[in-house]
Amino acid sequence: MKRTPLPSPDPKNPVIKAYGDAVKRGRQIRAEGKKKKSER
Amino acid sequence: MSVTYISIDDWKKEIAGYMPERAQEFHRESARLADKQFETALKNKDINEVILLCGGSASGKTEFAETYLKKRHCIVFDSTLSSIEGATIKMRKIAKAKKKPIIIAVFPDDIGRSFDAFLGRKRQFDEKHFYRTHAGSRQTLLWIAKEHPEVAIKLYESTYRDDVIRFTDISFQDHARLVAFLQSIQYSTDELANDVQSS
Repeated sequence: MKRTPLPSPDPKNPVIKAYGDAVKRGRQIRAEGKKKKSER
Repeated sequence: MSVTYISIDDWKKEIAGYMPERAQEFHRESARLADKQFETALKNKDINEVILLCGGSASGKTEFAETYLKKRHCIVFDSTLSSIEGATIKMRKIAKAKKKPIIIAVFPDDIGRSFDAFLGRKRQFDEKHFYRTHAGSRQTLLWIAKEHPEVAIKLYESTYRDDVIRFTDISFQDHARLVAFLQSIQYSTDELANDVQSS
């Protein structure tokens, strides 16, 4: 198996930026969910 | 020259009353509209290549297409390709139009990160949709590799570093090794759910 990294996407591209924003929001949602679960 | 990009998710925005938080309810209709656009696009005699994207929800397919396929003179169908039946229909249509199919599959290096992107985006689907598309797209890809060895398959791994999604090309010496790799990344929906829970 050969692995070749591709040139990085443009971080300012709105589609690329939206993905990063979604990851951050999702992490927050999951962390809050875990916190609520442990408080129960 | 530029790509003819067909996206089921983009079609949702064209449906009256669409609300991203209820995206699941609009999925069937948007898939029908995308199929219709696909049939029209296949009639274009100037285009020879048809790329079918493949990969679970939020794995980075749209981001891959946006970055690397925009200037390519081809048709790109952006869907998860999570059912063998759907893939069979699309490939039959491509063959009938005498065009060349290429499968571009995007898989996340970390299923937990992909799930975070799925949870955090505006377009909302049931969690089951996430697991079903990730398990289903892997199953479809293995089926294509086994049943249609003549079809070109390109594999990419998405990773997330320094707040940016990035991609790595994964290639194999021969088709047998590709099939063996695809066999090794098959997961049931329950296994994927367990992986996400423990991430």
